[in-house]
Amino acid sequence: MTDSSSIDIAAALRNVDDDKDLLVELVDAFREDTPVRMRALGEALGAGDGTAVARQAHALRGSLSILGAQRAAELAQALETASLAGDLAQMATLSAGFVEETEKILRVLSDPGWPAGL
Amino acid sequence: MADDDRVASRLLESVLTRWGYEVVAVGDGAAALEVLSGDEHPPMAILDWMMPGLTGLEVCQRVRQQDSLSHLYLVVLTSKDSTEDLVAALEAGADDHLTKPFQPAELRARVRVGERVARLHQTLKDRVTALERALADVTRLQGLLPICMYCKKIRADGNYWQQVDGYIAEHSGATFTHGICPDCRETRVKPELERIRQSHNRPASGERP
Repeated sequence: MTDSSSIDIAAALRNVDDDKDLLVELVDAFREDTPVRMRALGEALGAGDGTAVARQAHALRGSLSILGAQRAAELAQALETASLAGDLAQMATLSAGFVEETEKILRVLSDPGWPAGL
Repeated sequence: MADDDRVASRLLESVLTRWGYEVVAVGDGAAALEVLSGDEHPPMAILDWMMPGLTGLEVCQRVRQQDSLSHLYLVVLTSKDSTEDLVAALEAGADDHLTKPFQPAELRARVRVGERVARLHQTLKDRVTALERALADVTRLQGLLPICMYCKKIRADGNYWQQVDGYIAEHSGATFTHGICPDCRETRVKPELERIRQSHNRPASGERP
């Protein structure tokens, strides 16, 4: 089961100037790049490297916000802020929620039924 | 345009191309600086703030350090929207900034501002080039020129008195075509023609009248 409410398709379409083909293209790029970034994020978290965590969270935030995944983007921003501040405890707490939400987004976007609203 | 995030980069490239712009897309700050430093560099750049290697702000600073690139119009893309961040971007040399995720309409409006400024710079540059060429073609006439009150010759270098047309031709890009003004036609040409006519009508010596 997936939760398509994690993605605001109307917002995503606004962001791409209502170009549905472009949105599909961007989703494909996101699906290809995000697993790589998530692995890099996991390694940075394991190493306690706040700067690297912030870099990955920042990059993912940009893509997530373009695709209308607002909650995931907000979690990325919180993780980025905590990482830059060197707050390791907060970084660990926030990363769990962020990873869970982003993986949910990936599942939604990988669903053959998506994008039902387009 | 430079952005290491493929989603944001593809979005930018797609909308800019659709609006008729020719886009050079790169994925990091060092590549952006290389393109902007090239001979055929674009007049405008959209730079993501956070990029590996050189950040967008560092690219702005490097560009502003080069006099030959001072006219480039630079827009920084950022997820940061605090006043301090905006000030930092402008002080680094950016002309404008845009907060991500941007609305295409806002991007288009800001790019058009950049296009107007870039065109203005190009127009000024063309005018300056044309003026410099014109100045190079003209040896300026200036200062006091001693001129004869009667024959109107000008005293040139070396105490040499020179006809005014020759003097001006040597000291400017002007060339002369010679004609006769109405006054001189009356006072000089007609009397001369009359003198010639009379000399032709006068009997030659030894002839009977």
